[in-house]
Amino acid sequence: MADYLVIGSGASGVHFARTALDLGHSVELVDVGFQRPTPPLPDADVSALKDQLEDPEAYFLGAEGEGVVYPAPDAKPYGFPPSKQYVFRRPRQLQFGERLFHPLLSFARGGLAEAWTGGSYELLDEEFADFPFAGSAMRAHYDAVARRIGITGVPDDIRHFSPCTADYQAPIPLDAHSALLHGRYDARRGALNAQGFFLGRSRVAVLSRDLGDRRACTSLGRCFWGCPSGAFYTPGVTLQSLLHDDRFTYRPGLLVRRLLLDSRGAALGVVAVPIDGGGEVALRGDRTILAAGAVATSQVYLQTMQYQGRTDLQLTGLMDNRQVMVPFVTLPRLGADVDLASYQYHMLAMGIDRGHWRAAVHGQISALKAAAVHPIVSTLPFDLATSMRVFRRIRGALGVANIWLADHRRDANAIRLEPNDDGSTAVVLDYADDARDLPAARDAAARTRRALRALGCFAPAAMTRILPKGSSVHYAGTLPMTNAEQEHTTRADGSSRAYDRLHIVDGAAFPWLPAKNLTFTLMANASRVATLLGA
Amino acid sequence: MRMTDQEGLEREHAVFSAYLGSYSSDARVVARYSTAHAPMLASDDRFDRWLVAFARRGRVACSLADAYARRVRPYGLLRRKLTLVLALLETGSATHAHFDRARPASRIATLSALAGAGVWWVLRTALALIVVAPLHLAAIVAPGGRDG
Repeated sequence: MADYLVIGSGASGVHFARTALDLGHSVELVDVGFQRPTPPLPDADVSALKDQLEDPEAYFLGAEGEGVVYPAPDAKPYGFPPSKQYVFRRPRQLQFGERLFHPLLSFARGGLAEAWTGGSYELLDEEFADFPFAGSAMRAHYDAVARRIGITGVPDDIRHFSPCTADYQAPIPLDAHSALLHGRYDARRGALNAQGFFLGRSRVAVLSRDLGDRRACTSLGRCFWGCPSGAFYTPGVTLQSLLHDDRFTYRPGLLVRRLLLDSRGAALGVVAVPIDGGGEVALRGDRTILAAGAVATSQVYLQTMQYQGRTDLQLTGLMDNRQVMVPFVTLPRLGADVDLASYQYHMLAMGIDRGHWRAAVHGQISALKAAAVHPIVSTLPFDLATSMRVFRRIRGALGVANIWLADHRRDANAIRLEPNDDGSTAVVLDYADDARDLPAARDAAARTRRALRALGCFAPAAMTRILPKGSSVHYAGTLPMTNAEQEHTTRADGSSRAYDRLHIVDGAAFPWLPAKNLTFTLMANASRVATLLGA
Repeated sequence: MRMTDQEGLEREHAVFSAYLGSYSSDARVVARYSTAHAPMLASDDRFDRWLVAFARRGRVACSLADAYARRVRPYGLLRRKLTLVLALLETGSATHAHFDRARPASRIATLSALAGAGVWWVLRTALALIVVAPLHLAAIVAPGGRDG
């Protein structure tokens, strides 16, 4: 029996496991574990890939065109390509309902962060106000994770929203579009800062120098379809390293149903079902670590309560960042060329100070380079041939600011189990905005557009999209860490107040959701908990 | 000719590709176009089907049908088919370069080209409304035509 039975191979699970192994413990990791397909022609850039693949349409669009983004009222100007569909595949045994909140779930090796864009931001000390520990307790773990995975970043104006205390690699060079925006910001910094707008380099989990056997980014322009070189970090990279450790056991192909409890309600392990069919299997560990992501972890917890005969099958406080997309055209870039063979994700980060750190807005600015063209062109207001002509002329000027707003726990927003007609149960997510949410999102979008105008961009309000809840993929808050002795909460070491020997180390344990990508903090917190338990 | 006929789909693919600015006669690409049709591109709407049949007649008809569809059927069958063709063109080895690349030029040349494209779009849309709208109206008032 392993010291730790970890559920889930996402950002939290693999960094808990890595830290625990480094401290001399044994780890067994249970996972559904859908696998990433091997990237073809790993040295080819995106254009060469289209030239050299035998069937490029199958790779980029899928064998049956499932990667095509068709025009629709709610269509996004991008889609997840077939090469990343494994991230969102669901096992057939999963029973799930959705209401006003449409979460993206992952059962892939590496979890949801297999499809992230790498934004890695430390929280400010004050952003730990609702946590049962100080921000200073996290700094060493931010640093450990940054060294482990490789993050680029510099101490620039983004420090106003995210400290820069960890060991970061130097950033990769800016593309011409991002460099233009950064230069214009430098020239207007005083006026923009007075409006509360700050801009700097994104902190991104991509290598600018080699790290172990991973090569630095070679600018293949294939980020959207999955980095073939390993320069861009996903948790699958850490999982791969765990597999070489003798004290690590990986158990893929299993969907965890509930905790295995002793007569006193302590967790002995979990009960899981094989996704390929077959009966339930019990897996045991000295301590059980739930790290399946906030939604799946809540599901396991609720199904355990149900197995115990409880009827109050609900966890409140579900959080998700409201996401707003602000597309823009940088007028000085009209007619400019685009370098397809370059790093594709955001290179600039932005923040808006709205008077209190809880109200701050954080965002990332991406210049359009290589991307699927048809989802963008089909949203332009012209016939498709004219749209294509216009698009080619303005392509080098197009960009998008993706901004997030913070969220806080509310009783009305919950994950619960609900009976189906056939006697089984499904997980249902309820999420209702409160009256301040949409005005706050509109205000954030308006401030972003105003700042972009000052940088020489045209950002039409009609193109701004306030995305539906669930879009940001930052879910949290159903089993929060707190010092208060309340049911369905966890302590500072992630230990459950309901079930002894159970620890929760993913977003479910977060009592507040800042307006920034949570993944780096999830990794650092998992490392912190593993260190506390292993000491 | 029925829309599900392979010959019809091949012609449709050729016309739509030419309308969008490039064409690959690669049998694999044409086959991919056919495969992606069911069920994603099915439609029971009579006017949707008529608009596709009209667009199939040639590049000019296709441009008028698309200009009309962008205004009144932005998510309809024709726009979905054209989007599929565009997706195939931007990924195919023979055609991606045209669709993947920006068209660099001076700012004045770019602004002139954008203005020209705008004027051309206005004219084309006006012509499309004159030509296609009466046919659309006829489809609606014809017996059994309410789905148009």
